[in-house]
Amino acid sequence: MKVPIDWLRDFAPTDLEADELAGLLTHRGVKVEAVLRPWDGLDGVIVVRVLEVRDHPNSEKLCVARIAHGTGESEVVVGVRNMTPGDLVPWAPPGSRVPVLEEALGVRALRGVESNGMLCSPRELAIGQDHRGILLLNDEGFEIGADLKRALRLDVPVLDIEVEPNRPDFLSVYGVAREAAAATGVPLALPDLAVPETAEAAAEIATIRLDAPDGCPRYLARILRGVGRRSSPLRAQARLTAGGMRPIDAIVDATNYAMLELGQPLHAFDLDRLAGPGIVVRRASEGERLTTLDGVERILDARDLLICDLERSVAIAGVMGGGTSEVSGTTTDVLLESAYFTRGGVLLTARRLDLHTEASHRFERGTDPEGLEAGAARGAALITAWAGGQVLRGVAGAGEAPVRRWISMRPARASALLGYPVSTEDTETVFRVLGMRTRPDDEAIAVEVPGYRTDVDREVDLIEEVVRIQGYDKVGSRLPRSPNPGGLPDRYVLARRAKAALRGAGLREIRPVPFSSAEDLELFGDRDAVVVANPLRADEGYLRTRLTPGLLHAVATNQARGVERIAVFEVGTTFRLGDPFEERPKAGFVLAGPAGDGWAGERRSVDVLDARGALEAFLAELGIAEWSLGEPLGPPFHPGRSAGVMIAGAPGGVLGEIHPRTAEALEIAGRVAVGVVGLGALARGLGRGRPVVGTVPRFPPVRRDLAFLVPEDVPAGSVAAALWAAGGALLSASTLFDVFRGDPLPPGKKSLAYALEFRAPDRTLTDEEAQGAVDGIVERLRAELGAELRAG
Amino acid sequence: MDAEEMSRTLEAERARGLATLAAAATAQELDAAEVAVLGRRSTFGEIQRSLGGLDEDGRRELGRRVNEVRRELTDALGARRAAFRSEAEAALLAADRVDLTLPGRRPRTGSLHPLTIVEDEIVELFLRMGFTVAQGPEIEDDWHNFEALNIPADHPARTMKDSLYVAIPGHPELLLRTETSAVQIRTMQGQPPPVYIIAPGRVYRRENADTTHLSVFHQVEALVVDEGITFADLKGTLEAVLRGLFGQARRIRLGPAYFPFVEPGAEVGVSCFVCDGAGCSVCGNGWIELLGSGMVHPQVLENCGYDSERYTGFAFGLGIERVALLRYGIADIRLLVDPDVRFLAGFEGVA
Repeated sequence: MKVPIDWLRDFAPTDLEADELAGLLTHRGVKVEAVLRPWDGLDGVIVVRVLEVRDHPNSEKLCVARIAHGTGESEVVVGVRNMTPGDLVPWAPPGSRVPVLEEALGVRALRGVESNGMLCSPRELAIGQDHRGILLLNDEGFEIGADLKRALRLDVPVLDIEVEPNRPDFLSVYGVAREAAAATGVPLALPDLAVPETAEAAAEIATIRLDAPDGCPRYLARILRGVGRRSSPLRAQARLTAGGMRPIDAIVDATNYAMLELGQPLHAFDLDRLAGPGIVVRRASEGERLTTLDGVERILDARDLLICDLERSVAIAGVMGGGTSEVSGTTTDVLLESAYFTRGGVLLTARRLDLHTEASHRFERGTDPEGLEAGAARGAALITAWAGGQVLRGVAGAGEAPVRRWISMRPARASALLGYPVSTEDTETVFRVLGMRTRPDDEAIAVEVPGYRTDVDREVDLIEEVVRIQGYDKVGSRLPRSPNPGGLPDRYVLARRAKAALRGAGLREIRPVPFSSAEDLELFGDRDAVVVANPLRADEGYLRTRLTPGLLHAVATNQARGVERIAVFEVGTTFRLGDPFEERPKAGFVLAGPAGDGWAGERRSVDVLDARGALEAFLAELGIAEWSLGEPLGPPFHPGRSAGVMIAGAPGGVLGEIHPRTAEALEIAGRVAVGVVGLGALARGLGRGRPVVGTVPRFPPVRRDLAFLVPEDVPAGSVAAALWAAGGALLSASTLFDVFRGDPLPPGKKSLAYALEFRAPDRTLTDEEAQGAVDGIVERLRAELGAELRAG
Repeated sequence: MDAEEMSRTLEAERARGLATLAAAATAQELDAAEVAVLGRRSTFGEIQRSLGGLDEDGRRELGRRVNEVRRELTDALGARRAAFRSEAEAALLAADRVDLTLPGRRPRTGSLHPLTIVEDEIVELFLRMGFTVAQGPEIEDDWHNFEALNIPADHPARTMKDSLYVAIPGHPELLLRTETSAVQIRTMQGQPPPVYIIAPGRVYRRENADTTHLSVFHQVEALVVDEGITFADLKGTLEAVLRGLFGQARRIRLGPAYFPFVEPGAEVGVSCFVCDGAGCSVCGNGWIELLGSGMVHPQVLENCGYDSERYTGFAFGLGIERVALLRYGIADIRLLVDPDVRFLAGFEGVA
């Protein structure tokens, strides 16, 4: 809401400067976001009289105007010719500034004729959209030489107020003035609601019928006759412009001006175009159509409220009028609507049609059900003042004004909630300042709630008024004492530990948005993603089903920016359809680029075994020992470099390089390896890896290095498992220290070399005993895996 | 050789032996000198063997001298050998020298995201005050996200533009939670008072990202419900938390504000941690408006089955991104969702 400060002073005649007033209002909860000076760019434009308009010697389109500006005469070249000798017009002399130009005006030759500054259109002065001609100032009572900015009061600051949805009464100048008067202590002036009336009664002319009183409990109409077609006064246009509305003509401007001033939306119908004339307010029928003022045909449903004449619909109630009954250039008689529409109905209609107007904005937040007469009177008075005509006596109307509510507040309850003593006297003072009546009610004070205070509903709303008016500075400071020790849920602790472990494994945490595109889902062929109904971006159409796409995008983003060595992780939620949906937190990481870094780093690219190493370190840090790798994974993983991760005997995640073709499609260069495990699986694995509390061995081991030649397709994991199985109780350690293939080994074979350690807990092992164990191992590996001993 | 001659020869051998050992220039020459001076075939060896031919007195006398000379020669040999070893070792170590100004070989270093760092810090502050962390789903239903929080269907805060909805067949009531406040409701439904919880988590709005806004961001919601909780408890808790985050010298101020689920509501400003209220480029006017708060609306308590006459409470919601931006001087909030490792590397060593 934009409130020109002089308009506010019409009702709250405070001397405070704009900035001081802004501070005071903000302190009271009327949030002044900024103090605007919309005509900062206008300076030095004055009122002049046109003495002569003659043809430009070298141009058909241009003309030359001679003007008197009070201290002499000047000549200006003009592009339009709507002014005639004797007219008063705005002149921007050399050195002055107008809002539409960055530079100050000067003297320059136009087609060989020297032009001193310019004559201005309304648009050039930013007080309207009209650019068809020079602004004529004949009817405003201005002196020649007068400064236009001062004369039109364009120099006043404008308070830009952010109106919270619970205080729609601040959507009017008068409502803000009411609070300003309370805050500054100046008396609040009543708006001028005097309307000269004719003898003819409005109620005799038009009928009003309310068929949907739940949506429109009350409807009033003023009838005006003999209205002309004119513009509204420039100062009114300037106020409308400052208030954020476009001046149109005197009738429409008057309704808008009254709405900005008092908060009651008004609508002017051409009385001659209303069948009856009469008004019926009813629900639309399903699929009913109405073409609104903006030329769009709207399809309505049975919840929408329509204003109709006795034959057809003429407006969507509280939102927008239709074209057929609109005031126009030929309008002489007007039916001026001032109605109360309930909040919810207008909100739902405006939202569904995505049609938001100044009127709907006010209705959907709640207008004053007591404000109908005032709004209608103000609007009618302004129309006749600006466009001529007469107002008929009284109103045509239906519905009753609501009875005011009384709500009680206990000062003791206020004290208990606010934490400082609030007395009966304090309470009475607060509501006197707010202009709300009170009366005693046992231990409580009953407060009368005016119609404009739609936010006051129960005791606590009155307590809020007490602290708001007394000031939040009155509130003390105390620490509440929790009866419990603080605590963290297991799942939260696990997520924290997972992050710490992944950080410890040398990875950097990322926090991408948890959305996925259709392409992301296609990577894995996921069909059970949760669809975002109204996404902001096309690539955010789904909630992610996995962490992997986000991790891969992180690699692509970094590579696109020239960053090669990437090792990042995320711990976050994934989503899937379920009953009705599932949220699964997961921990995942990705590696890409060179394995090492710097002068001493390994030049080779990372691969799946680096990812396996990171996974090992991560799980070891969490104390999870019971895990293994399962079968290779399908697309988009590399079939030979991926595996499911089994934790505590159940599938718990994935590990692997991405298929080269997929990586290429994602614009990722080189190998890229990911590991993802579910936090649920991690939770299952926790606690199974208890510390192995043993003794330090007392007897020395026997060490043997054995190299086996095995077929290429025998996994190292099978060899290791067989070693342990055959080694029995004496085998205490086994370390794979070399993997070798190629000359002189035969093709299709590889050599795996293990350093083995044999030990007995109670004696020094003899060579013979150790040799027995080695023989057992060699025999078993030969029998099970076709392994030959190369050296031992 | 009689005793006298042997004695003369011994003394001559001693002098020659010491000279020979001293003359050895390398460890190899010293080995040769050892053989020449002390070996079985050396003159000294001969003298030793000849001792048996002497009478008892001569044998005893000369024998003692032979032992003395042998010890002298052996010591000299040992000293020379030690000297050669030291030299060789010194040479080896010299060759083994490393340029310590080279960067060290180190494993990859990881880092936590600034949002995690800030969240951890906030959670720690609350833990010390006896709060418990509570969590809830990110996909919420209309009742928990709006209705229970006193935002009915016809409330202006409920426009489609503000919220992201999910399309799950048969469940039109589901949306992505717009506040972690929904966790308040779930907690109160699940337990009787007293309640001292915080709910950190991700929230969603249908809002285009710019330098100060994201459509997906994070909040920590605090909720206390107990007997005798007042506005002053809210202020005291805010002071403790904001001083913990921004320094003990900070002052806070409350101003009227509207949030449907609290009454009275308060906007909370903290005195600027850069200029301490004087006004600077970080804060503008000396105060940083940081969060929304208020006393829990009695309707919200009643919606959860609590007795709103007996219990009162307060709630506030702190934006984690906002704290991170201020704390780390990050100019564009969109950096917080950017996976650029050059940005993330800046948080190495921060925890």
